[in-house]
Amino acid sequence: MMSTITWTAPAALWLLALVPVVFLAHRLARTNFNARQGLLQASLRSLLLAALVVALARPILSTRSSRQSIVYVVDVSHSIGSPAIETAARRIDELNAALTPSHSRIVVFGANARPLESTAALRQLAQLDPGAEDPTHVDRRATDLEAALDGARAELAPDHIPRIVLFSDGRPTAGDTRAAMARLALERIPVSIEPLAVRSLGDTWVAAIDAPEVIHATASFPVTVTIGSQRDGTAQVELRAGAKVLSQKTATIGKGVTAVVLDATIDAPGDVLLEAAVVVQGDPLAANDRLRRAAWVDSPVRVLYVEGAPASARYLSGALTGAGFDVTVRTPAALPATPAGLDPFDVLILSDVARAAIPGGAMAALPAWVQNGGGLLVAGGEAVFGEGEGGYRRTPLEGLTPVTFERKDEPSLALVLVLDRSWSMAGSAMNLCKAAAQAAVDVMADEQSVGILTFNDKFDWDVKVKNVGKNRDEIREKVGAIEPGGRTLIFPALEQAYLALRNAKARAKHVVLLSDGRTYPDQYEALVKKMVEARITVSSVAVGPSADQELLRSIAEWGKGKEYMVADPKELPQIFVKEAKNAGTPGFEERELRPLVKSPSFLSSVDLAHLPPIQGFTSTVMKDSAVEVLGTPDGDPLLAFWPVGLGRTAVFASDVKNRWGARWVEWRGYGPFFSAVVHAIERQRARPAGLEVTPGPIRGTTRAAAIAVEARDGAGNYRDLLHPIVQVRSGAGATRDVSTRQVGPGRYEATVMADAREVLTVSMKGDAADQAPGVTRTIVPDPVAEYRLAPADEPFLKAIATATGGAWRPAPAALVNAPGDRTTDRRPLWPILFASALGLWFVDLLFRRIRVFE
Amino acid sequence: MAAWQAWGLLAGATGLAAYLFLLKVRPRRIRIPSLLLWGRVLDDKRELTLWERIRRAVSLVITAAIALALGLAFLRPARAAGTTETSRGRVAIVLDSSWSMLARTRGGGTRWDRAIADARRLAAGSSGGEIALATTADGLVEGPTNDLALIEAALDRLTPAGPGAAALPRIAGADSVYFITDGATARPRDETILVRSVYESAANAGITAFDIRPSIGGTTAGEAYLEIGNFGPAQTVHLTLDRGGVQVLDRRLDMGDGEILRQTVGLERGGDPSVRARIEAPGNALAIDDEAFAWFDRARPVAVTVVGQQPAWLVRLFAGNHDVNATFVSPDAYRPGKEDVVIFDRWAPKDPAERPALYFAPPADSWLLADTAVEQKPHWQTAGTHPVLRGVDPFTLTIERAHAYKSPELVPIAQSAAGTPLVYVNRAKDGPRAVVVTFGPADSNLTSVPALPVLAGNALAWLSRPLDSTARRAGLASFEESIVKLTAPGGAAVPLSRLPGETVGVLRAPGFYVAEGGGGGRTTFAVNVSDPEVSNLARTSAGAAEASTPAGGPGQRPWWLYCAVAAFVAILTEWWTWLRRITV
Repeated sequence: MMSTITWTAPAALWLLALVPVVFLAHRLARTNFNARQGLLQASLRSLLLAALVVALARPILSTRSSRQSIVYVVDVSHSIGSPAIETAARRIDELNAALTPSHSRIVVFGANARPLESTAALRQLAQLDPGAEDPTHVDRRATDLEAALDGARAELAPDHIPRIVLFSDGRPTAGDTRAAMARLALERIPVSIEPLAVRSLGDTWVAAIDAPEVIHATASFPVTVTIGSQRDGTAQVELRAGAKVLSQKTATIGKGVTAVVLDATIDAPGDVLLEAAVVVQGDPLAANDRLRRAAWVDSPVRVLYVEGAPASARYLSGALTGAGFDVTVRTPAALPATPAGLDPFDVLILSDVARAAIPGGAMAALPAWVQNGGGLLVAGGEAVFGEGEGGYRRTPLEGLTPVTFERKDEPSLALVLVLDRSWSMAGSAMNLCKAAAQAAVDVMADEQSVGILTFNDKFDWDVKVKNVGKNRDEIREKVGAIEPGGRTLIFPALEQAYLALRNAKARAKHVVLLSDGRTYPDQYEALVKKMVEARITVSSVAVGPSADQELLRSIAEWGKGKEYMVADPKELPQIFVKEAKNAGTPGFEERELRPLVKSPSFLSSVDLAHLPPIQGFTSTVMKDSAVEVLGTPDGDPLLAFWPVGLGRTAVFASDVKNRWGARWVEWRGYGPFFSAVVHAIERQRARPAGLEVTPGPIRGTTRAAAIAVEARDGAGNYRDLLHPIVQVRSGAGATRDVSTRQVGPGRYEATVMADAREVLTVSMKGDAADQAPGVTRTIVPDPVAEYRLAPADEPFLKAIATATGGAWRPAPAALVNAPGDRTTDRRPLWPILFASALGLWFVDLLFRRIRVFE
Repeated sequence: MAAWQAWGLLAGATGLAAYLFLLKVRPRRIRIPSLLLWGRVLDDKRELTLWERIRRAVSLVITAAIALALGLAFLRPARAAGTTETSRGRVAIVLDSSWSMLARTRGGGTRWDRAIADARRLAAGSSGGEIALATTADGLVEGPTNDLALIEAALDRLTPAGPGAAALPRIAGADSVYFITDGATARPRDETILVRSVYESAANAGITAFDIRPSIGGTTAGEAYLEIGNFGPAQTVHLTLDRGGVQVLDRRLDMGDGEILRQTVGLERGGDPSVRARIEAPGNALAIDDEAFAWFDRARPVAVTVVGQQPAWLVRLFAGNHDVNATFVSPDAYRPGKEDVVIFDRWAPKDPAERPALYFAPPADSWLLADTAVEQKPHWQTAGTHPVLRGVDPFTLTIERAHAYKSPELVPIAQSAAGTPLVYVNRAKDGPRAVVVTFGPADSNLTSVPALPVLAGNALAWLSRPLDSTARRAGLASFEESIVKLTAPGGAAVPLSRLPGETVGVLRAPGFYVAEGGGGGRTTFAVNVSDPEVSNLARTSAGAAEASTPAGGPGQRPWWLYCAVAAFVAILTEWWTWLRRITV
């Protein structure tokens, strides 16, 4: 057996240097003892002094020992049933019988820990009614694993090899188990685990309430209420905020846990207490059927909705308002012209707004506003996009969006001008008509195609559909050679235009029909609708009062084009130029198609599997690094996102109204879809002064709460030398002010002690609160946590065993000492040495009173 | 031993010594001439001196006193606590080991000395029951034991060790719990706990806050905040601030009674990262709060070597970044050096790098063993809680393809919806850290999204510094799981324990600590007292109703030790006087 000696005060050993003085003095002795006795006396005195010196150095003898001390810690809190406690008693007996440790103890615990004499006492305890007075004085209304492990640590015999065996369900409701684990791990005390079954009552309880981190007032948000149950059944789940019922649902619940998702809406911003309740028929324990948690509700998301066609704004406006957004609808002219003007809003929606309708200042203000966190959604429509003067190509807005407004497969336009050359057009009207056609050809891009079809009672292709580029002069020349004559017969000419464009390779196919007279009735509607089906649009120009305005208006309407009533032929060149430009630049396609989902997890809260078809969309090109969420079967983006500085932008390439989105506005997912899109881009407003409240572990009836205030200015700089004050209220008690103190740049802290059974509310006050008024944090206690009878938390219990080096469900072999397991048995030697010195003193005296060796 | 037994033993020892002293020494039988005998008799007729008359009595007293002193040293008696004995049964003595207990008292000792003396009195008065000794910093340190000597030895080795747990250590089955405190740190406590105060008001000046944080806005790289409190009469406080031993501030502050001085100092990039603040003042009862420490990590940029053929995108990334000092080399020219981090851009060596490394889309023939499986257009699904992913916005990231790697040391921390790893870290705790991004600039829009600077910044921070260097508080501290060694200011290793997802250790003394991760990453951080509750020695939370221990002497040794020393001196001296026949 290895032994070592440690010295408590080793400096005292220097006194040993004085011991030889005894022999030196002996040489000068005047006593008359014989030399041998004199030597004996000197030796005795030296020994006596040496013993005293060594005792003063206070040595402790340490010897290696393999004696074992086992403490069994048994959870007897109310969540543990009697059979489980009896099982624990049986296991303890088995382990003790197999191990026969030198020392063993039993500690039982709930909210506190107490030693117990024997397993017989433990069995008696198991038989006690949970409500009966407990002779062990264990408070069984809570589970404090820290108290249990600390209590077990205290019961371990000193100088023994320590073993702790914990019997528990691993569901602490108080104390800091992590700290206790850390202490035991640092002391190398292994904790082996025997999981205990919880009391089985066939009970149902509310286990948890999960709400989104950010909740906006008036906006719907999902709340997941987790119901724990020991049986299958049907439960009525209700969610309240104060007295107001937010939502309720009947759900089928199974044994174990069932998550029930409820949609809730809170009307006003601020701090709210959400309370979930479950009602199940025949539930034996009512106390655990309710659970509360705090939530902070922000102001509603403020949306500025700028609609190019204000009459159609009601669809999206209504949907967003219904979803809790604070929506302001404006016309494009009322768009704020400065970033400051936009700052009150979190999201700006530009829907079907023509480039020309956006004031110059507003266009310039957008980038700065988005860079600083604003969210921008650009929705499509007829008025938007394009390369020309009226489009967004190469505008600041295009720089912000995830798409560019170019046409990805230009040349894109095939335009047929169907011109009336009857007699009635002769003169200046004809000349102006020819000049207008030539002007239209002039503004067309080289790669675009044009055809000139003139008609009277018959039709002629003055210019067959051909590329403008190198034919521009020739086309101009042929237009110039058109001569009037004959009567007006529109239908065959229009049919020819259809036949010419039907199979033409162009993204946009457009017909401009010009006439100043009347024609015979025919199957115009059928023809034009066939043209629309072939993606050919038709605009009409009625010249003068003699024109068949009703027919031409109808043709434009059927043909999804524009109608022009021209009193003065001088307007014709302007109209033709506009038509030529717009026909090439609108970049929209009007056809029914079903959107394809490209990134299914992006808008996870929306049912993307059942998106209705759209009737048209604006054609754009994705930027390289933008995220495409929806697209067309042809590869055009429909919904795309893009980050810009601190902000995010999105483009919805169809419209949000009843034209292309006619099926969408009827879809019940319309509101949730656009709510999700707006939420995805909404401004994340960082609070200049942040308030964190971190609850500490419950100890007895109190808990500490650490409060931290983080203060910065708008630019992110620390705000120093403030005196933030927090108001603290515990339960219904009076509010008290607590000063925080600065601990680092921009950071202020305080700690408060509070009654762990009461709701603790902390709110900002003082000079740091100016930028975060009304910010409140609440800690809600769960007084019946012990009675939420969830099964043993095995992962947590295994973590305790792993961290401390213990075993899971230990067999006796796992608890026996390993070959190298030795502890140190310490014995202080100085009491023995003092006793020896006293004895030596008597012997010393004796040998001065008797003579020996004579 | 019962009191009567102790008294009996002392009386018996004293009596036995006296009895032995009184024994007559048998004279030695010698033959002498009668003339000499009578000559001696005539000599003895002269008058005895005073000393000769009392010599025997004095010798008897000394003999008995030595026996008594040795008996007392053996019995180690102590005055019972207070006016009555402490409770029978198990006694728990809890010592407040807060740093304020180091405050000097008017008697010349410290509050801690008084607490130790009181603990000895309590232990001695425990009537033979078990005693458990605990401190607020260490929990149970000795016992429960009947062996008073072990308690004595434990009391000898205890020193204040900082704030410790907020709650008092719990001793199961204790019939009486005594908490010896100065009340500087308010703690929740049970009504059954008997508080014994060692509080004595004292004037003190101390540094009550000191920390450095990197600037986000503003013109400086960092900002230091310093707070000094004068808790006593007006006095001049001498403040010095030095950075790596170079003094950067030297001021004399006239501070009023109770005045708190608060100051911020901007810190430029460069220079030594270690910053110390020190104060001196005449009225200063506590020394441990006179010095405070802070570590300015951003003083020195991270040295990065980028290895790749087409690193232009990383050149753009690091251009103008003052926190990174990047060097660019081609794979052919790369030789392992002393850089903090190596970035391998679509290239990787055959063997694991010797330095912490960040890999972007490493090729199949590297040590990372690329899988042949490539997922097209993976969608980043996991948010991830790993420090490398903190704040990375996958929202903006579009990935065309991602590779999987087979190395068993890699652990995915971000995956696609289909389970393809997108970012790995290595699990080896004893090798350099590594982060592997399974896609590169050619496979994604990485170069143009906000996720890149965040991901790269996080990765460089995680690779080069295993911890952040924010000042910590003393006591039980939690660190990242990868920390394998922690060195205290004196150079001693701090014992560490692994808990699920963290490593814990106890920080006991203020100063600079060095944390080392597996594979060589090192971080220095500071621990400070920085607590007005500790520095303000003129207040206490221990109420007037709570017992105040009598002011003991400055020493903390038990008085029986002085008996033993006296016995030693007496035995040594008596030996000389007896030999010289001064005493008998």
